[in-house]
Amino acid sequence: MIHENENLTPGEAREALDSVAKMEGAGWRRAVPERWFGAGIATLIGSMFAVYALQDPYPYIVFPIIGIPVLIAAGREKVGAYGRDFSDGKSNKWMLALFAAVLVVVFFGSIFIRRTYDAPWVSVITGLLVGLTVFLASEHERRAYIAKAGGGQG
Amino acid sequence: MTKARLNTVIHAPNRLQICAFLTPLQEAEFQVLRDELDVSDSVLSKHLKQLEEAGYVTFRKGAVNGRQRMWASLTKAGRKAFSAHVEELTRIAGVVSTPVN
Repeated sequence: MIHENENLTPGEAREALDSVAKMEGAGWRRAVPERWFGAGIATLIGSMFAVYALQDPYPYIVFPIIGIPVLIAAGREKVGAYGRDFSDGKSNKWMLALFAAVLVVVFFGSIFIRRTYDAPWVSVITGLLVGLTVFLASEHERRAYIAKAGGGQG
Repeated sequence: MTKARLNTVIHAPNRLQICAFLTPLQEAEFQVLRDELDVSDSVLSKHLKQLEEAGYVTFRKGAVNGRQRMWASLTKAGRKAFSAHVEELTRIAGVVSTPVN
């Protein structure tokens, strides 16, 4: 597939590189997550924590558990493309794994405190803080995509 | 004129654009690609098939609301070949090289 005798002028090569840069920018622009998507995921994850403020949270925990994959699928279908930046690369995978581990510790920690001290507000505060953290992370990701797309969206 | 080692599968303008568009993405839907390239379904299918035959692109089919949809993504070999192609273009153009994702 490599053609050794292809003749190309520097000008033609520059033209091809311009087209590459333009299409890469278009790819990034398509992948910019919408704000409602980040807010929706943040709300659902936060509610997973906050629902433990209730006496019997188990009938309600099913909503975020079902809602998160449904929202992710809906977001992808709506945009028709999604970026590889956050799920690819060793450092990104480690960051995601670390974040998930922290969430698990906070999750069980808040349940333990809520039950030990009978303090339902602990679950509510934890849910709010986790939801806010997820939303800020989604905004950070959104800005990173916009920067790579060359700006123009906000 | 400069003698170049160009990948003839990728070098065609539409296929170069397809690879460039898919580079930052995990997957893109067929219709999205068609709209971005501003080509007909048949033209896009032809180019995607050539990239698939070279092992540079894979497809995933899925139904949404009863409608069949096709998602395309670059393979590892596709990313490597595209990156090498862009490096060669950069060399010919005589511009400072920037890494390709």
